[in-house]
Amino acid sequence: MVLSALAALVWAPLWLLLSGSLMGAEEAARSLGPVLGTAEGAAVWPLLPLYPTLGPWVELLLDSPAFFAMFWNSCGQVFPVVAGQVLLGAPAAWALARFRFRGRRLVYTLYVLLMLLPFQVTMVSSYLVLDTLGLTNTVWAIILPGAASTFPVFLMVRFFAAIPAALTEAAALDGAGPLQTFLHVGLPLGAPGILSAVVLGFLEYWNALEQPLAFLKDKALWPLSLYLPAVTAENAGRTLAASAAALIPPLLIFLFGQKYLEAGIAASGLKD
Amino acid sequence: MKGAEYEMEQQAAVRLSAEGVHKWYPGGVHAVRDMTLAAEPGELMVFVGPSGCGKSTLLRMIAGLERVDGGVIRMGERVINRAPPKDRDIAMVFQNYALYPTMKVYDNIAFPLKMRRWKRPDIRERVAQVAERLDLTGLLDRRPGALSGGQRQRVALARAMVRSPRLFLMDEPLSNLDAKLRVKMRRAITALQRDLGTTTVYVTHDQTEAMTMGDRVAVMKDGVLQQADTPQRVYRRPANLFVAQFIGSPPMNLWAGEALPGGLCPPGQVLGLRPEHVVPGGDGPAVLQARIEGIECTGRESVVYLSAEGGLPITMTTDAAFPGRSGEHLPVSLQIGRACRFDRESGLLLPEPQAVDPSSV
Repeated sequence: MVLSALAALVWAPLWLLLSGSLMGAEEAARSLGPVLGTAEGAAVWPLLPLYPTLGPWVELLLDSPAFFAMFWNSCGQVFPVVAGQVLLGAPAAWALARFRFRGRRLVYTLYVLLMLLPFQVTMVSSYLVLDTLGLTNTVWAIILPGAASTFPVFLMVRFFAAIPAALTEAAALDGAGPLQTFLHVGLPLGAPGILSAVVLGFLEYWNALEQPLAFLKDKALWPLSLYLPAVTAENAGRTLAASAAALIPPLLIFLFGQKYLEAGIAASGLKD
Repeated sequence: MKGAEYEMEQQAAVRLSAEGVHKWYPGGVHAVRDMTLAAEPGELMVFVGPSGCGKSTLLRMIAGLERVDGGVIRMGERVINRAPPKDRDIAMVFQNYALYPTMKVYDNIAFPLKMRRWKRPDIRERVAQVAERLDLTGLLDRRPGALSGGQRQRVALARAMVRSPRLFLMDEPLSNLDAKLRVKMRRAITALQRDLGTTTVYVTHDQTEAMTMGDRVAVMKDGVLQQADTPQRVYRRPANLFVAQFIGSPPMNLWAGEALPGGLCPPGQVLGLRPEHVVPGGDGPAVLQARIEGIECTGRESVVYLSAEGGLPITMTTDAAFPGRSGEHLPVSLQIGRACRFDRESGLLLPEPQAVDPSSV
């Protein structure tokens, strides 16, 4: 009983989001006014809109080119990031998990250390590097650091390390070289790890705020995550609808990858 | 590129030899010490010993999975110490089978051929042939997870033999099977090996497996080779006290010379006598009065545990119909002519005394 109540509470923001996106502009402005400081009194939020309307959605989908541009920007940044994480991260993780070479522990410790540092700590140095390379204010400022991020490597190392040694030894005796062993044994068996890294990476970069804020001056490059915070009383309905729309891709990814995601969170033993 | 001939035809069997091979593990563990032995072409050689004796380490060095820290391993004339595993033309069956879980049985068996860039139709033909031989034809579309232990075992064997390697290595391949299946697979493997004529090294800790399967048996302990010989020789003339105790079930009786009645064995020596060479009744100098401490009847034979004067323990195997009961006394005679004598200091087998007439004892 208590749990159900708590669960309902967890859903409350999402409910408010959906109901808000179906409100007329006037009603939304009235309900949100006190929060945004444009009106007096206490904020009131009805469970169901008084006058439900698809107005905000129509406005968003038919009359907000900025929304689509930023949606597209998000896709253009997130998909290369995730692809890069797999293409760079999987071989790196395989090497760290399965090969014994000089400096392996050092490299791995460095990875873990970098992973533990929050973005804010490395922001300035990242900015300097990107600026020197002339990459600030281009999408590469988001894609390159994202593709080379450490968390997916760490996550995949855990999965690759769990593959029994006998399997790679068998592959070696069956005539497979290191690359073939990686492709035929490592990748298929590490697939859950790779997929969970994909899901987590997607969620992280879809919701990223700091990186684009810090590295992208040109608003034409901004992703969807920066469209959403611009809430005012006038456009409240549209913003809420946009939030709901922005939820859809991660939701789909999540539904598709939930199984692997759970395995990934369990394997890494942490979640940021 | 190699056309139909590939390696389909049986290659001539190869000799495998280790000369003064050493293996050290970090922390100063000397896992294999100065190992010198050879498996002759076409031979099934069994490495046997208690766990930690170095048998698996040596096998893994032959396979190229462990570095050789000293000495030389040869296949034929070729030194293979530094060759990567894939260039050794060796196939191995692992204890846990090591089948690729994401591949179907067909792809598991075909994998070594794919890695050797065989053409698709040739692969299909060869896999079908091997699957037929190992009774796997109906299972080719399954994944390893959907197979029983015995079936997985056969897939592992199929994957090993599919490309007719120069050498088979088997690392305790039967230890995950139940007892009945183990006996069946034991025969299947020896029959297969005999048919293929491929030199094979087989590792086990089970002395019954070693005795029944090996053309020759190499007994190891603490990384040191104790004896390498035919099962019969190892059984009849164990090279030292360790082999005497390790091979044979129930184990050989070992008595210090002092504990035996006068004249049977000089002091400083240990007398070893197999339980089947102790027989009930009889008279003469080698007859002892003993009390029955316990009897185990296997249905085929009885193992009788006795104690003679002075508490000397004696194990005797005899007919299943042995009528004695615990607590009874009976005379037993030792067939001293079949005994082995060991030096107590070194534990080594002493040469057979010349011209001992068994009828004189």
